[in-house]
Amino acid sequence: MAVGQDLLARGRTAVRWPFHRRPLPLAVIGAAGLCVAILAAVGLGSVTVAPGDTLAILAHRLFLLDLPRTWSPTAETIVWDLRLPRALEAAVVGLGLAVAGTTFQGLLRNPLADPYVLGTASGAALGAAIAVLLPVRVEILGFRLLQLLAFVGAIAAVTLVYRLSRVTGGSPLTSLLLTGYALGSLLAAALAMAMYLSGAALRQIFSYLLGSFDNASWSELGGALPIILIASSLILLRSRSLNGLLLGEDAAAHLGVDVRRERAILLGLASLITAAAVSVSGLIGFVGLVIPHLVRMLVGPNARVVLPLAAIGGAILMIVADLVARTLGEIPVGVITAVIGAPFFLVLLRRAQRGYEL
Amino acid sequence: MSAARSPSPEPEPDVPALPDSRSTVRPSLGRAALVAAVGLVLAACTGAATPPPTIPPDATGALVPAATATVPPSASPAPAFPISLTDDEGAAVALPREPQKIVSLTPAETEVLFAIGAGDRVVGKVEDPAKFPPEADPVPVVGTFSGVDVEKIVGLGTDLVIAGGSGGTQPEAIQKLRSLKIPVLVVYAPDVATVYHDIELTGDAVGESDAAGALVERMKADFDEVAAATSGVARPRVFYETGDQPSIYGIADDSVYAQMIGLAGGTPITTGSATNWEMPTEKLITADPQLIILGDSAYGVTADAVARRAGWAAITAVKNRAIVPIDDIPVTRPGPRLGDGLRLLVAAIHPELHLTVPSQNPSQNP
Amino acid sequence: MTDPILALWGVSAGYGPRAVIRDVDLEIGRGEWIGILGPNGAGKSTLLRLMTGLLEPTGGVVEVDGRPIRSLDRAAIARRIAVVPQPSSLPFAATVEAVVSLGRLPHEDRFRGLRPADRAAVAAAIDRVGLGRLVGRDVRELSLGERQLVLLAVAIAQAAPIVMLDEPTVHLDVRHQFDVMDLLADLHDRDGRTIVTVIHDLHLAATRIPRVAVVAGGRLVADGRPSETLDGELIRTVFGVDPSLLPDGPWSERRVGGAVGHG
Repeated sequence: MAVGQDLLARGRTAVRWPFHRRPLPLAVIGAAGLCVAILAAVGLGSVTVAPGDTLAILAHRLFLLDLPRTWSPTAETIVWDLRLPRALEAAVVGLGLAVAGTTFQGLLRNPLADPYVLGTASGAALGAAIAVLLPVRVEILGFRLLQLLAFVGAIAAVTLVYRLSRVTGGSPLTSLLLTGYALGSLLAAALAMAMYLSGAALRQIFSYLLGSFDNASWSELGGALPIILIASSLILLRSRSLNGLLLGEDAAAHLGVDVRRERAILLGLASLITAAAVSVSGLIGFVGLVIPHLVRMLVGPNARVVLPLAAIGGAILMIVADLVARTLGEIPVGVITAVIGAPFFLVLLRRAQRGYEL
Repeated sequence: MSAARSPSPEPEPDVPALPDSRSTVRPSLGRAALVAAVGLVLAACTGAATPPPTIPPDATGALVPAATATVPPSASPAPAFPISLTDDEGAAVALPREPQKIVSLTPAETEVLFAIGAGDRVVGKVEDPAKFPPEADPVPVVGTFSGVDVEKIVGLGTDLVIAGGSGGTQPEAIQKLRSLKIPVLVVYAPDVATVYHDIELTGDAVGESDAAGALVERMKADFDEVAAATSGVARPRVFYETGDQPSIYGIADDSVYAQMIGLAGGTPITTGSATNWEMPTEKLITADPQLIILGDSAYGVTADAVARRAGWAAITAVKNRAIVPIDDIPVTRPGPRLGDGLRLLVAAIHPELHLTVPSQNPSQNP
Repeated sequence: MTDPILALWGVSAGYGPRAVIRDVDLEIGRGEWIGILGPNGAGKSTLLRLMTGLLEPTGGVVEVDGRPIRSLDRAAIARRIAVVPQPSSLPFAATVEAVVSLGRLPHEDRFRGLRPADRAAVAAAIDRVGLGRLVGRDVRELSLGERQLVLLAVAIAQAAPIVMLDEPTVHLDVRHQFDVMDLLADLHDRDGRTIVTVIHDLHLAATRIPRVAVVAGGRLVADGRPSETLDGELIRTVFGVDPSLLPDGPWSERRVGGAVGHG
């Protein structure tokens, strides 16, 4: 039966997602890129370590190969205790932020959402500022007070936003976004006050705000990595729900998604990831915003495909940004991601306006 | 770029106002511009209030009545290693052998190390805008006020790091170095007596206890000489300006500035708070200083500019044009030149005493 | 009626203190096609939300397949009921195929995603609504009528025995309106699906839909074949207009036109 013929032949181009049908090759390329990025990050730094030595140290420590010691203990300390945990931490944080960004964009049905949209950044910053102001030095499981309070601050902020948004009427999504904005502003004001009172400690708060991987260590990695990887995997398992939300909350419900429960779970997982990320690395922007869009441009909006690829992309971007930041010397990572991310995002917007996919 | 600013937490970002030091402005300019730009953006985003005057790590703390107050006992100066020392933050620092590769993360400590004869063992230093002593020029820079390059320090095979307390060196960097089994000695001198203590502590740590002791004796004698010269003189009211952007900054109660001015024969006008360095203009006019010392002259603040300030014409010091610029660094750097700083203060407050003023350091303000 | 596929027993519902639906009894048999008619604000959409379980009644019971809808989780409901909404905006670019694939969500394997059988169902649904040529286009660039067809394809791909539509013709031009009604007739006749259509176009309802239920002021005021139910007096009372009723049409003998306008 001939129904619904498209009578007007409009000259529109089909959506071009180059890897839509073949996400696997892209994943392989991405994984290879990630390995290259990690090796580069481990091999380069302000002290020159011969590439052969770097590889030998890695082989020795990772695979427990007993090789003739051609390298100095100093080189081994630098590669194993400084650079490798730093590269891995950058990878994990980049991965987490990209996954969280993808989740928030799908959950809130807003292409401009990023991991910090519901107040996590402001909460973490305020927690960090309070930690800096307190005359207390605490270490739990290798985590300093600043990291613990940043984590708590992020979670507390999101929980508050969630609770408050339930009370205000209207569509849950709009409510979430607006409440997040309002609370974020409030917390930013509190942060400004804390910074004003901080005196000599201002620099510490400031450097936290700008984000850095300077303090990466195996113990930090041991705390952040499990949280981020496990929560990301749990989100991946729920990609169906994330996909279902594409047409709206009602449509998702009609397609079998328990919207209220899934929204709470996805929100919780993504916020957990964000809190873990910001507690070890400070506030680094643009990765969570731009990587999901970039991946969607390559493979389409299916969350099951986007999430793992965004994870790889976020990891690579963060490692590269950190490498550039420390090579150029003392430039905060957040500045590099902004320099890379902002123009890219503008390009994306322009292409979208010209009728291409976003 | 406007260089005049309020006292900041960095060791000494100011630049001495000498022609040959202009070259130091430009490299810092780019970095400072970047930091300022980021700071502006962040301030705009977070609506942060103006950054507060932060206490330079060189100078805060309790007022000690006299320069010869009892010095807290340091570890007994045993020349033999291994030793265990207690640093100014109370941490126990164990040194198994005499350090051969020392990194200094405060400009004051760099001066101390070179003054006690350990300069040849210094393999890394923090950036010093005053570039003193000149013998330290060839030593590679491993950190600046904004960060410490831990990798470089490790790469040099460092076996002792001397860092600044109270946030002077990032605590995370200190922790990182310690986690890599590099001994870190943290020093922090809120008053003159602790400056002596820290010099002796440094001497013990590097095996130059005798030289350190001798240096401290010389400094004490210097201070005694000044104290003798200024005993019995009239003590004018002195306002020491530490900054003029965005508002006027003076000196906090019980800061080492206040202590030094007292030793130099002046009555310091302080802000009334131990933590806030902002000096409200009304308070200043009420306090009516007889002398204004421009500690921020390196940022381009001049006596003329001060005289033109609204409402300042009523101040005695302005009426008499008793406005004197000074090189801020020796006054507050907790190192071997503290006595020079004291003499500079005396020259400003009591020029009639004709006390010898040191002239050999290039960072001195004419 | 024995064994209705969908039933409302004494159902009342509202938003807050405002009662929108009052004491409605409605039974829908398997394979029936029923249109829900009524003026604006009568409660048609609310009735739909009740029947899909998005709204809980304040009184009475909604049953699907003989079971209270409250006892079914969303996935179970999705396997039984497919809903065709009004076109809305999308946050990201999506092809027609990507959107229609969402219809397979209730059947999707958690780990393996879409299997070949799913993809076949998606392709078949797209062909059935006649959008085969647009399968790779960005949905956001299609016309409203085409987007409505896409949403219909989603429901078809969902392969549920009940299909509910909320005002499916409201954005469409005449040609597309007929196309949609033809599609629904096809789903009804060939697949034997139960169709519930909330519709405000009296003419389309009267000529195409075999059973109509008229809602006014939250109550069910008429239920039956259009030829018997939609008489002049009812239309005058409920819709406030004076119709001219003409004999015609495959289902009922009436074709509503004239002073009513286009509904």
